[in-house]
Amino acid sequence: MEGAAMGKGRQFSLGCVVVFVALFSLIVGCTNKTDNDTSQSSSLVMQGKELFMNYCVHCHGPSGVGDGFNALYLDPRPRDLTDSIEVFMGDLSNDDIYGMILSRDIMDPEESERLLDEALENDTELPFLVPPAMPTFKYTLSDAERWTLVAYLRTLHKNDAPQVDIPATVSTTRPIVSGRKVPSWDMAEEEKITLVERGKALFSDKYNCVGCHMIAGYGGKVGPDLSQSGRRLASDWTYQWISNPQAISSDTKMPNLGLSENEAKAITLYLGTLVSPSTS
Amino acid sequence: MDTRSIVYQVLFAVLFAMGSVSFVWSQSEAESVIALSDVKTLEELAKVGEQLFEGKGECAQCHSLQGSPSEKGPSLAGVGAKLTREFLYESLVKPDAYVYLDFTKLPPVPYVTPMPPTLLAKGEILAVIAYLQQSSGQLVSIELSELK
Ligand code: HEC
Ligand code: HEC
Repeated sequence: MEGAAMGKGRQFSLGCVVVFVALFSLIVGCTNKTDNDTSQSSSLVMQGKELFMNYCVHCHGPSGVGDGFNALYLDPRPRDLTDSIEVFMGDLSNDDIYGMILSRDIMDPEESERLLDEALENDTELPFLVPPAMPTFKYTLSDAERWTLVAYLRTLHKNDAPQVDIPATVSTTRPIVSGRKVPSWDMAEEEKITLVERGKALFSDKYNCVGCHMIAGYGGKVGPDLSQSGRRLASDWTYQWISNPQAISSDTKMPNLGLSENEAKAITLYLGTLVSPSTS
Repeated sequence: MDTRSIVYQVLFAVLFAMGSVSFVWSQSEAESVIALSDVKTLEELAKVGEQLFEGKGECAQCHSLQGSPSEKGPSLAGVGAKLTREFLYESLVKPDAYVYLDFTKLPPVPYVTPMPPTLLAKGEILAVIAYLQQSSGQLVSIELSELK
């Protein structure tokens, strides 16, 4: 009896030790895991920061308050993303930032073509196709890269922000549309005039190219003044560049705006008409 | 004959051989330089252009065609496809008519050394343009008759 009691006591303390060791390793395991998590999330933030410094800083400024050198030329101006005075970012969900802002869909080319042609034909005011001055990055960066930008933007404002959980199956390849065939530039004069007018409207009212490029003294300064494009640039090259800038220069600050073939053709023809003397 | 003079003779022979080989070599290199007036094909014109780009034209001091970034001047990778022939010509003779900025800087600024107008003559400039077009994968748009 006594022996058995003794045995039970031993078994009990042995059990305690086993449970203790298990708990201990669980705790150690967990703390290790959180360590991993934070270092993983900080590397995501670092990656987002690097992208921000190449693609966003000229308009939003290094701290995100909206004081990039190019902000001066934008209408509307970028707002304060640090929420220092009023809460804006704090009220957005991660999906809002990722979806509506960084992966924004610009209006369907056929729909905008219809609206533009209607206005041009009836000589009514041009429709304001895409109000925000903020370019979309849907066609430039991979899904994963846009999520790292969300993670970085969350570190810029002080208000409570939801934790950024990047979906596990997110794609890491960039949406490069490579090598578009250059169209023929032969066409009737009338067709050309229509396309040039359409191109001009697309340039300023749909894609807001004017936010980064100056023409005849009006516009932004992130990229070259385009006032002399018709004299300087070869049409084939312009068409290729605006269709997919990253295929020509992989790290250029100019985003791929997802132009359709017709739109790229119209904008190329419009730029081809710009031959004003030195305004740079 | 003593051993010493044999050594001297061998040494002389070796040096003579080395000297003549290098002389012939330098001659043959000099021969591969084509004169503009001897150019018969657009290939040769582009070749002359390359020599001028690297040498007399001094373009390579500030520019490269490989797209490696430089503080001195913009990369010329692909410019033969990007820029019109007329604008390339103007860029060489009147470089300050349109100043291309360094768009990697915030805000973009001119490159540190302003480009001086080229000292090359008209035919030589056309040869350089032919070289830029060819190395951008373009058809050369210059006619040999324009060199006259
Ligand atoms: C050409 C200048 C420009 C660039 C480049 C730019 N933005 Fe913007 N951004 C704006 C402007 C202007 C607004 C204000 C939008 C509006 O109200 O039309 C804005 C708005 C925003 C907003 C808030 C949404 C809102 O409605 O105000 C976020 C977030 C943002 N940008 C993030 C970014 C990130 C991240 C990048 C880089 C990947 C970037 N932006 C690049 C100009 C720019
Ligand atoms: C976020 C700013 C930005 C936006 C928006 C933008 N660009 Fe650009 N663009 C640039 C930059 C920067 C360069 C110079 C890039 C380089 O050399 O890497 C450039 C270069 C160009 C060039 C070549 C000009 C030259 O002389 O070298 C053309 C043409 C051009 N962009 C057209 C457009 C068109 C058309 C749109 C609208 C569909 C547009 N850009 C929108 C920033 C922008």
